[in-house]
Amino acid sequence: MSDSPFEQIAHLDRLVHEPARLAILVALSACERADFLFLQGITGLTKGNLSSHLARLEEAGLVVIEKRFVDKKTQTLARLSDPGREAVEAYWREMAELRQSAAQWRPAVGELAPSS
Amino acid sequence: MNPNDLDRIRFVTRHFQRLQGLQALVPFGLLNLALGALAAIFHRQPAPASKAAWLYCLLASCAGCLLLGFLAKLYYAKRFGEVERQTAYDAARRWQPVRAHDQLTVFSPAGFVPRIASSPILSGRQWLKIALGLAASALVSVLYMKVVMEGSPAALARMEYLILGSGYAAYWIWHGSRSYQAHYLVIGGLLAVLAAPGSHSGLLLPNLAGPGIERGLFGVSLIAAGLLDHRLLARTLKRPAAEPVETVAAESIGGVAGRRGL
Repeated sequence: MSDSPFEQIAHLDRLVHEPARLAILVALSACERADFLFLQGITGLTKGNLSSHLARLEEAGLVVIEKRFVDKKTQTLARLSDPGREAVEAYWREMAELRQSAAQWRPAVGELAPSS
Repeated sequence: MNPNDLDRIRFVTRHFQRLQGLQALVPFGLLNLALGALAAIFHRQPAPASKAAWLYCLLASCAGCLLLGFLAKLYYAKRFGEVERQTAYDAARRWQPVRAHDQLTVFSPAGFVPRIASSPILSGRQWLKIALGLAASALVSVLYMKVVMEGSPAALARMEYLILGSGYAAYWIWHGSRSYQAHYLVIGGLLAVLAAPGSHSGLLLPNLAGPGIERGLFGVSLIAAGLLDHRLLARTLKRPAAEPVETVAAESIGGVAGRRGL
């Protein structure tokens, strides 16, 4: 863990780190699967935004989208894939390491010297 | 989005079914309230005459509560959507690798991993809670037996309030002592106050011991807990924001969002 906190921040998985997607992934990590309406409510996103984020997560293989018919209507369900679960877990591990290294970080000699 | 928001999202998702207060706790509370009322009404009347009426009232109460629970279930599915719970087996299997990283993930902004995954892997703190809970339960059971055998009805009622209050507090502690679940602690505290010596003397409170009174108060506490759980759910699962017209047109992901109340 030789990286400085700043380098660690730069290496964070942006796909997971984005707040709306993180909220979706956190919700999905706490259940087997959830439907679109629930995800919309828990994240506070609009339909379009949620669809867009789910599509990105699905493209990345982190989320699996399933559809089924309930009372002649399509119900969209999302669940975390195994790589998705691993990505979430890795993200929290990175955050823990980042927090630790940020607590220990001290500026190098001369790094904070006045520029004038 | 701060760590508390994430913890709340995780908690509400994991306990989505349990937080549907109108579906279980409120009907069960109403049933207890009805049973308490029936006990208070019928205990002085002659048994043969009142038995049939008591039975009809009981059946009507049960049917009403079942109907309320059923309607609430439909309401929750329509208003908040559906969540399929993660089984303990799945959680344990999927989060198995996490065990090795407990010392790291304990710093996670979303909380301690065994609590996150709700896996059967218990932390030392949880074992301590279990041990303390069992010790307290054993002590209370012994005291209860003693009061049942030797005590007056008022002492028995006080003991019951103490047990119920402790139950609510234990429930709150077991679920992570979260501030947004503090109503369980408050309800437990209020019930525990009823157990305090002298509380039934008439100076502080009216006499809260008698046929059906304890059960009725238990029902009231369940109704309060259920309504506050429902409030937590409704506050966390906000009504979806209105869709800007241009966003709807732009955001299409090949049918991810079908056309249900998705």
